[in-house]
Amino acid sequence: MQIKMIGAMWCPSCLIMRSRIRKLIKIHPEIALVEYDFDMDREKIPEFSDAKILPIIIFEKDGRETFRFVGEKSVSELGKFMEENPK
Amino acid sequence: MKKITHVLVFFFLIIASFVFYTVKVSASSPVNLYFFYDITCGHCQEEDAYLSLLESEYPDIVVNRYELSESDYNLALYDSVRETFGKSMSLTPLLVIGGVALTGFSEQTETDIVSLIERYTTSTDYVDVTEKIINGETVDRDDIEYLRFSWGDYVYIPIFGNVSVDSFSLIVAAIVIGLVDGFNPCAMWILLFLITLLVELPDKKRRWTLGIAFLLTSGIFYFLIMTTWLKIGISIAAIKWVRIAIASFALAFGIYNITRFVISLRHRETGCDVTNVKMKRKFQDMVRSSVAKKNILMAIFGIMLVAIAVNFLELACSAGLPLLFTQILAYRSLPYAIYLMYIGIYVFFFLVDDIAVFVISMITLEVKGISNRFGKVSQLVGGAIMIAIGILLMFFPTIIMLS
Repeated sequence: MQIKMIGAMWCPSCLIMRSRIRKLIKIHPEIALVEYDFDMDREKIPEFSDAKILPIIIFEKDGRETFRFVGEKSVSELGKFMEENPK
Repeated sequence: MKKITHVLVFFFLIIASFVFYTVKVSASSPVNLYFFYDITCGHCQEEDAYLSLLESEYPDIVVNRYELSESDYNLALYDSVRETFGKSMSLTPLLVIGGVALTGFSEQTETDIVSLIERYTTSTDYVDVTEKIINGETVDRDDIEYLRFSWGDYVYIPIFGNVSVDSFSLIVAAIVIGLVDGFNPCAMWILLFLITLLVELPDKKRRWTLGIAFLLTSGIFYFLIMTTWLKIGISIAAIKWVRIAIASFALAFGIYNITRFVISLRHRETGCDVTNVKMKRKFQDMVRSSVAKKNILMAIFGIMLVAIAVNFLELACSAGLPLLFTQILAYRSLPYAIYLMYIGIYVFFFLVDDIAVFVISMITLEVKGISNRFGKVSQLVGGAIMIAIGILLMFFPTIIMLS
């Protein structure tokens, strides 16, 4: 499983979510985190150029998107999602 | 949302343009000034000379002088006037114009006297309280107006009754409003961006120096802006319609903030709004090039420029609370250094969250952010404070003058 996160260096919610996802990865080391910066990586992620809220967090399994959410989520909400979507 | 901001800025500019426009009109009946003084008091002599000057400048005023040490009648009238205006301390000079009593004499008093003369010579909508006292008529609470308060003053507040001005603390107002203003995340984004670059720097001294330069410049800029607003606020505090205009501004800004909060609730997601992308990217480039400069002085200079520019551009987003706080200060008669101290306290608490984020990030070398949930709450609380101040300023100005 892979988590794709689109964030920005100026965005406090992105910092918070990065830290929470890292906590999640400690529990689930099989998950990989791939980060994109909204400003610096815009050529790699043109489909997100009109994003309204950051961060955007996308869960992918076998290269296919299984779930996405926007903004801040608590560690328990993330954990609940992992329970509902076993690998 | 951008349109609403433009409307608010336009509204603010209209108020500002009116503020600097005053009209001097001759009135049909003279304005009475009642001057209570003691022959041995230095400030009384200064004020007496100033009033003589005004008598020659304004033919529509009459100064009634009451010397207190040699006349029992004058002293009895003085005591009645003091009691009516809720002045517990027996201080001279005391000057009463219409429904306003001014204790002491300073440059500020000169400004207040001229403002009141100009107000009363252009309008008949006021009560000559001293004349009522002399004629033995009953003075209503509504007859008394408060320009600003001095130590020892008592004021009547509905429900609470007579309350001592000394018991109200401007420090509490400075801390609470400053904190709420600080959590407004308008200019926080550039600090986070700067910190993200700084934690990557190997040189510890450079990290701290550039961060402190940014925070210090932001604080000094905010301080200077508030000081300017205070000066304007003091010179216009006597004008009734300006108070109404500022109250309307507070209400409009408060409703705008609460509307934004309600809209954000509808979205459910709490995150960073992607707005002003081009401007943000330009500033990011400026910060990057400043941090990368080898010469530390050039780097500091670049960071200071960014801090000024960002705070200036984001001012429209957070102008409401500091503007209202300076207006609250303007209604109190304080030495100028004390005004500056209150603004300093406000600015410190405005920056407290920024300082906390910076210091923790520098110590842990990991960028820490404050959840945007706080920003949302600050929008709600800030909006509620502005609406409350607006309502009080419009309908119960006495309470807002006590902050």
